[in-house]
Amino acid sequence: MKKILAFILVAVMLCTMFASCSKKDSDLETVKENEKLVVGVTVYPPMDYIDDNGEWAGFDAELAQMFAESLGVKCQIVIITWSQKVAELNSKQIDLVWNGMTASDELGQQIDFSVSYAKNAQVAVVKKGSTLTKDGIKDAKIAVEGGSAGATVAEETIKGTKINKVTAQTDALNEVLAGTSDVAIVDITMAQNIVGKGTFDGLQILEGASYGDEIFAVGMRKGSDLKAELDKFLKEKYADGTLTKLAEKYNVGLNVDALK
Amino acid sequence: MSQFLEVCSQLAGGFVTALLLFLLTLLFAIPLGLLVSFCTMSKFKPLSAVSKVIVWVLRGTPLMLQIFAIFYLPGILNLFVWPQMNTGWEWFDTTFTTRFIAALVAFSINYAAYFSEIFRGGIQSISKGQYEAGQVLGLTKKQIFFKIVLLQVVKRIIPPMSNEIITLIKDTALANTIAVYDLIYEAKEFMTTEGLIWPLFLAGAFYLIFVGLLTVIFNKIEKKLDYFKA
Repeated sequence: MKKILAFILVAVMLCTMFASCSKKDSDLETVKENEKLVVGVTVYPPMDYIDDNGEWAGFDAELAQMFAESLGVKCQIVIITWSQKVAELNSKQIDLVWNGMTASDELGQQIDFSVSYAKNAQVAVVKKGSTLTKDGIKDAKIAVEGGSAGATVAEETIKGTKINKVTAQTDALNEVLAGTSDVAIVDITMAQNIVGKGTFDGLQILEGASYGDEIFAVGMRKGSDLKAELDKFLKEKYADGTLTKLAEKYNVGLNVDALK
Repeated sequence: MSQFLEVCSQLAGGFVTALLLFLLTLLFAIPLGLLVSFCTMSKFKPLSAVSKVIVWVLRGTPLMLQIFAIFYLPGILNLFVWPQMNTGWEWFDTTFTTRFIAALVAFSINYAAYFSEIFRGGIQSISKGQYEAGQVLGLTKKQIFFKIVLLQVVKRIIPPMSNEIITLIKDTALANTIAVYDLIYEAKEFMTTEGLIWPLFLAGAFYLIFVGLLTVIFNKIEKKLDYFKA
């Protein structure tokens, strides 16, 4: 008798667990039903960071909050592990990735992008006083964040022979600082913010070594119906000047052509 | 100096998360481990076979992979999405996030597998003669286990358990792979935002001090149980 009771209990528990989760196809409807838009970010100034008051700030964070407001829902910003952004989206832990994400072709096969809203490039960071030149990078020990745009540049553009893939862009900078790598390939947006300050005081951006014309876009699940809303939102905000003001505030280069 | 204090308070927050993960994992993994060890030792063959396979898988794959699977797979396979706590009590909701709960489930299951083998070893190390003596005295199976066997088992498994428990507090750092804000996560945050490396080493000191504390506690427990000379 006890066994039967236990079995029924487990069965009921499982049923409620599965039933409690809606399996709607429409992201837009799910977002509105839950009354919140979940945005996945990493701490990545000047796009997403926490200000002195403990609030989310940054170009992307402000925009994401405005977008949620336009949908009439709350914006919940959660910190994710960058290399797992696709898994975070597909497992429905987050609705959007809005974090200065480079819209690459490879990534485009797995997720959808909004219209591109900003531009980015990759730069080489070396120790101050380093004699390394742009041509020498190919044979130097290169540190990059695995799965980042910098990693693609190091492999495909530079065709580096000794590439160390670490888990974060800051780890790549640490590699250079510690001397275990000669040069790090990182986003210009992040490099301008961090190189030459604090622990990274001993580093500098290598003059003339800039790679790629990258574009930033917001990422979402394949086929998500949030895309139409988001594209409309971004274009409207460009047209009314909000984006231009934000770009000046956070020193971000807008992708003007795409937003027109 | 003010920066040092800021780092300390931030790390302390991460340490609380790690500590909660540690304590709750122990709370769930120990009874679960005992249950699994009984299943493994069961005379009912299918049950013992299944639990042996489960223990094999859990001990045979990386814990990090299990955390990934438990957090991401349900959503990817369209089964369910880990629910968000919504009690309105802010501290509770921000501490026990979906990520924390998924990590807690993964840790509890994984550690239960390890614990079950320690328990099995402890239980099987008690000589058959004691069971027989109990039966002669007219005790039931339950009475024999709880009144005679269990206390001796507890004493014998203290050293291997303290080993696992010390490993557990450091393993909590694996939770930050799914962005649980544990101690290491908070320390790394200073590296990303302010370019500071030393908070990471300070975090190491947190672990070291806590493990020192655990070591002292386990030594005390071992001494307390010393009268139980077998």
